[in-house]
Amino acid sequence: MSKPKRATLTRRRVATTPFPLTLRSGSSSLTIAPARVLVVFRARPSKTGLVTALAGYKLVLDDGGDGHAPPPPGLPITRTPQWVFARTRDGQAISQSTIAALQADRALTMVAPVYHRDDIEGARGLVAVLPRGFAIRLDVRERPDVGRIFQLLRLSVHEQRTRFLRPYTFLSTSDFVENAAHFAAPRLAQALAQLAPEIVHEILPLVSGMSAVDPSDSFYTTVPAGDAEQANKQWDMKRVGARYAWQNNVGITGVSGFIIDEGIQQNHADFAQAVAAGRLSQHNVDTGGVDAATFAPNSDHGTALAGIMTAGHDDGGQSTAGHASGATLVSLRGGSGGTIDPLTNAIIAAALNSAGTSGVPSVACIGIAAGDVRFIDPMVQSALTANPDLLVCVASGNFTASADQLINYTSGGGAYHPNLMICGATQQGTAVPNVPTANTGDDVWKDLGGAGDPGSRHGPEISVVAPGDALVTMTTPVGYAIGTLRLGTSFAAAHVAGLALLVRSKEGAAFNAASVRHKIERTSAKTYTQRYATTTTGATAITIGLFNEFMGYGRVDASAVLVHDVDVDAGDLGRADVYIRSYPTDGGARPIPGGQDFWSSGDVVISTDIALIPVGPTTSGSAADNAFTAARNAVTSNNIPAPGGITAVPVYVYVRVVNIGPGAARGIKVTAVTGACATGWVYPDNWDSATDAIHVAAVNDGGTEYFSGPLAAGAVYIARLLIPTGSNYTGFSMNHACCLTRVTSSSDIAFSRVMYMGSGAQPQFNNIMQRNLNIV
Amino acid sequence: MKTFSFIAGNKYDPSHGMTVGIDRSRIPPNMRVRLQLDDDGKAFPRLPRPAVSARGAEEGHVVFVERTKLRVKLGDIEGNLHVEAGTRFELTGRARLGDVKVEGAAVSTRGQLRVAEITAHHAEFGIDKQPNDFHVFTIEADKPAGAQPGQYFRVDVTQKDAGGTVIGGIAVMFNFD
Repeated sequence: MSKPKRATLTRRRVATTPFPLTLRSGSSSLTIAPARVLVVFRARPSKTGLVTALAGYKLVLDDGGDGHAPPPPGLPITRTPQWVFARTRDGQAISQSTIAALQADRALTMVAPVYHRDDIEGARGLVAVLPRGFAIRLDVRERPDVGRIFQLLRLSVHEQRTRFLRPYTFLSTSDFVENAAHFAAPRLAQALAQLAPEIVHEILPLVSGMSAVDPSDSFYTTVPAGDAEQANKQWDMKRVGARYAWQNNVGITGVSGFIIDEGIQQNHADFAQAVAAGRLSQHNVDTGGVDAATFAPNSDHGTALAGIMTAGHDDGGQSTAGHASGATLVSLRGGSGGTIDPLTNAIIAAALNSAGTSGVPSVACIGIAAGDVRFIDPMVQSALTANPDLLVCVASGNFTASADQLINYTSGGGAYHPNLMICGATQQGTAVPNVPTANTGDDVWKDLGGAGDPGSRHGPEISVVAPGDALVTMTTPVGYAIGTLRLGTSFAAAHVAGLALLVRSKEGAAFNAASVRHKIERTSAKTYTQRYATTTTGATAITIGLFNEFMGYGRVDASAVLVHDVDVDAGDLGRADVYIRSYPTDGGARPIPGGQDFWSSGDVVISTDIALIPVGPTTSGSAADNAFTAARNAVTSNNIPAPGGITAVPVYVYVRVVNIGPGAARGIKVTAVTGACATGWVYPDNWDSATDAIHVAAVNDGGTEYFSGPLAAGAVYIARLLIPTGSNYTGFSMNHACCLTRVTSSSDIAFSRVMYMGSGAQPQFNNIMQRNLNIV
Repeated sequence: MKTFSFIAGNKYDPSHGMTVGIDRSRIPPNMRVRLQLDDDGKAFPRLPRPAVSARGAEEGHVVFVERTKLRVKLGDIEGNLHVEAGTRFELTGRARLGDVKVEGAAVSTRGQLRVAEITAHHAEFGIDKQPNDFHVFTIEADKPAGAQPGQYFRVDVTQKDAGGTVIGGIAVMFNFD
């Protein structure tokens, strides 16, 4: 019974399309994908404008899905600011009238049909056939009147393209509707049928086919390739997701990185490609001279920083991989010609002014502490002000004393500059902080490591953090240093500077230094145990997201800033969507449908049993997942045992997180606060609250509140937080408590990277949850 | 009788007006449930109450016409307080809720406090909440005849904003073992 019905539906859907049902392009057969279309905007629309414009035609950004099942994870969708693939939400064909309306829309310059290549399965086989022309391979000696046929069919030879497409001839049409390539090409093929010409359409694939890029450099590559972090390798590059960023770009010559230090080893093998391409040089700001490639630096410090920023890729032999291997690198130093002076305030200021007038988008890295008297010097401060489009990355500073120390930039007289990023350091993990042997799944603020291993200074001035421990870096004269000696916040600053070079390479000159900074901050991963909260304090004085004084806006995430932050909406298949169920059948839809008591059965369990539920990543339907469900269903699961108002034993808060994709989730962080019973919780104030009269904040318990990932689409993560013994509930009524939880992920763009849009649960995309079940 | 206190409204919530709903549809008809509308101050002892409560609260003042010595206790400090003639104390009636629009409940008074007997499956209390204002309510529940050991009786509390959207709630499981 069902077969005839499906056949009828198929015929009706195909019949509505105004495009040919099939085409041939080269040796491939193409079949119309009637629910899809490529549109080209005349002017670059805003994100909101784009979505609104498509919605006017009942279209959404094409994510590779078909309206019936979620798209496969990890599909990089082809899109530019003006060229956009769109589809119907439900997979039904786009009607002829809608196509006609699109073609008549003056905001669009082109509407192209989408076909499916029969030789490639799935979304990767979808291609737009551009209507403006096609190529033909034909021996004109066999048909000397071919020019007249072209003329009859209103086709003209595109001379410039044809010159470079031999043996093909590219034919253009000026009528993208009635005489579009998908119509003209079959007509021409019919007219020349006896010659059987090969016709190749100009196509654009929906899926770009790009994926993570892993250079072959010996200190970068791991076995197996991928996200694995291994001993004596560049775990730091893997950790910040550089391999995903490199699919976007590796830096361009028209963007410059400046190292302000005591010279670099220009003739290091890892710089050979840059030297050969004329992209690397060293200048003396005191004499105006240029140093020879063999000129020796004072130490290997500058070389190491420069390597993190721009070391070449695929160099062969022993080599590392830098962030922006294709960018220009300029080392600036002071001194009297034959010798290099130590960095002074005057040299730093002169170098900043020199870099700031380079005329191209630039990033400077200075490996001294922001609180150093040389940096808060008036000349340096003046140079920061005078060069607002020079992004300056400086170290937060190291400390070796027994107690944490502050950055002391503002208190020392340093001013807020939108183009200044003060960068702290993280280490790989708590389990093996200095000897990376495997991905420990941790990513922590760099505290004292013992044996002279310094910590990272912190304070309200901090911007972001990046790896600064147990690194593999270039050294002098030619070689590499590995492990415990390669650490400190200056290396973290070099990471941030290298990433900024990639952002500037991608975004162009119009994207100023402050914008680059904010983009990096907004997309950083919320790692480590410190609570992140919204803030208007600190040197930034700008609320762009969650912040704390140790990690700043978080650990930089190259993959996020360059690859996955394009869209908040469904077009971005690299994004994840993590959430905490608010009710048992919660599938992540938003807003929460009416009639759901989202306060009584959310995915939070409170217990005094540390082993009640296995924690960590798991799958739906696993033993751990089922254990959670069973515990959640028990009505006793939300009691806070606090006789006399003071907890006498540890109390554990279990939170179940689900990733509904489409991409894998990284940098998952869960927080929880218990609050005196109330019905009107306000986000973010109550969720961000520290312990006070009516709030008790849960703390990290064994690191499970954070998971570096990846957590695949559809997978589950169970976190456990701790309400310590002695927590004070005397301000609560009879110890009853509500539990407010939040999950963020560095790849959940909709929540973690967008400014908050006001109070209430609905705008938060299901990433916050309250469970208010009480036993009386 | 068992009681359960909760806070409606929020000092961070700048909106105007709210509706508190009590849903007793899951409990037997013979189980009595009441809502104390006025805050006796016993629940949430460390919660700083708003200085001024909703509009319509009873207010007044005291003026001392001659110099007076009062024995007072302020927090942990106890001592003599001398007030000069002409000293005026304002009584703000801070713990009292103003006018309440009630549906599905019958309001009576118990001493100085108003108590609403929940009669319908779903009762609603419309409150002219001021921006950033909040109030403490207390539910009272009596053990119903025939209650079995281990049996739970669920009453739900919701808060709607002025637009009628449910912004939060609490499920209260009464057990009379």
